[in-house]
Amino acid sequence: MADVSGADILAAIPRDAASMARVAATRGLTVPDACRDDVLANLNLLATHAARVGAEDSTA
Amino acid sequence: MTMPPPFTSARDIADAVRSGRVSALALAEDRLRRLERTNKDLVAVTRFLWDRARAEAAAVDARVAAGEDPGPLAGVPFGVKDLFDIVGLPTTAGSSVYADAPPASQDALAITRLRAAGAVLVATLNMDEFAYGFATINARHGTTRNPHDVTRLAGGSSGGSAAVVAAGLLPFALGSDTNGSVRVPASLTGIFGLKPTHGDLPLAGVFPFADSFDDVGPFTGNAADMVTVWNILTDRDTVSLRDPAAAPRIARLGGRFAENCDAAQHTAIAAVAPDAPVIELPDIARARSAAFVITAYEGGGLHRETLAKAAMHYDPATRSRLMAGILLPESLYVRAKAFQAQLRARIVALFDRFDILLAPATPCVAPPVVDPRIMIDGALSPARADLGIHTQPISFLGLPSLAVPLNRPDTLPLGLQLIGRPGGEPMLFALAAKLEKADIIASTPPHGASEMGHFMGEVA
Repeated sequence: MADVSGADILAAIPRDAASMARVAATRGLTVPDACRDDVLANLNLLATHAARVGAEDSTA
Repeated sequence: MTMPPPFTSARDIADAVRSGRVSALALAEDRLRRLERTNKDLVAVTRFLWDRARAEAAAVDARVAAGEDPGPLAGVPFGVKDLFDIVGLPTTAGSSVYADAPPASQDALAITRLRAAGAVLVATLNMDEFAYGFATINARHGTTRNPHDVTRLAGGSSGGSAAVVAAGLLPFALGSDTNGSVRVPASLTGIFGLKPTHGDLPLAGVFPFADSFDDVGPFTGNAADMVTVWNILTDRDTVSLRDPAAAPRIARLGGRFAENCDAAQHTAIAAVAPDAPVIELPDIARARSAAFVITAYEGGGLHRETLAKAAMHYDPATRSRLMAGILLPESLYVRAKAFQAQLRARIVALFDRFDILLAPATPCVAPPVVDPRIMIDGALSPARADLGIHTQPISFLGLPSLAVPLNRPDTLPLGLQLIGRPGGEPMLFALAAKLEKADIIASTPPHGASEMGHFMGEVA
């Protein structure tokens, strides 16, 4: 896990409906249509936090 | 027998019951009636536990009649956030998802300890669903209102617990604090609320949210009651409130803490420690972001199976946040946890130089229910997510933090955090008692409450 770059981590966060559905399927989950936009909005918010977390090596 | 009026401290109630001056049964019934009468305004109670309270209170009275001592909280009525196991009832965590869950087979350990000390459980209290929020906006039970102004939020996620203590209806209540869910509502309702050293108070039988940060936390109307309840919950040798041998070495937190802070909090911090240095904790914005990530990931993981089966039974706002957490990559979580360990070691080292750190508990007073937004860094931001701007980084570090209310009668409440080293609660309590004695901090009744009996549950 230590050699995963910050860019790779950010790229692994789904940011559109298609990637969200694909990642959800790997987790055994279906995102209902009724909440798709809200989940995406939360993922976008979490991505901003993720960018801050991953901005530097965690051991720096 | 004269009934203790609202706002009577837990210790005074216990003294009255132990001496036989007050019946625990009559007191429990009186408090339940008041809770029922006021709940239309406060929306704080989710279940009234009449039968259980009567049985527990009668047992306390029987012990007094037999010449026994029921304990330091003899007959003291209290409530718990709706995520503590209560024998015979489903643990719902404020959600419809678990409304028909099998009943708990035993009480949460925290309740067991309080009951052994003579306390009487009378109600379960409102919360954000699964404790995910700082507002106590709950689709099933409604939005808990602030006793100081019912058009405003009480804060959350333990808002029901805070509201009943602030309204003087119960002398103490239990909540849980993951990212600030005790300290935020304590600040907005003007009472004392403790986030203990992470893991120090018993979590057995408490519905989890995010294991990295979850803690049980009490609300009280004064520092001495906090010490009493904390002593019972820890089940260790009793700590008493006394002046420490040396004055605590205090520092004031600057940076984002000072930038998002009410003028009244600045003034109070200066009054508490006028000569204390201002220090900036490193990487504090990153800490808060990492807390968001860890909370979402752990919370999402906890609910993955249930969401896969019954997503539409969740509060819409909770559902979307939990689902987003499920979709985060594990590599991000691992990095956030590594950062947590690294930052914690750096911050704990600060306590070689200081004993207590001072910071605001919330950035502002309670926002209106109709427009639950607050100003953060000069821009409007949702209260449900951001009221914890000052509490979340402290939880991230696992430090104990006592929210204390500024003494400002007839004004919307605001609180400060007294932050200590791991295991440093007694020093926080000692400083709180000193500030209380100096009238710098105090829990004050809601405006007009004593005149109108508005939150006393009196019949108009």
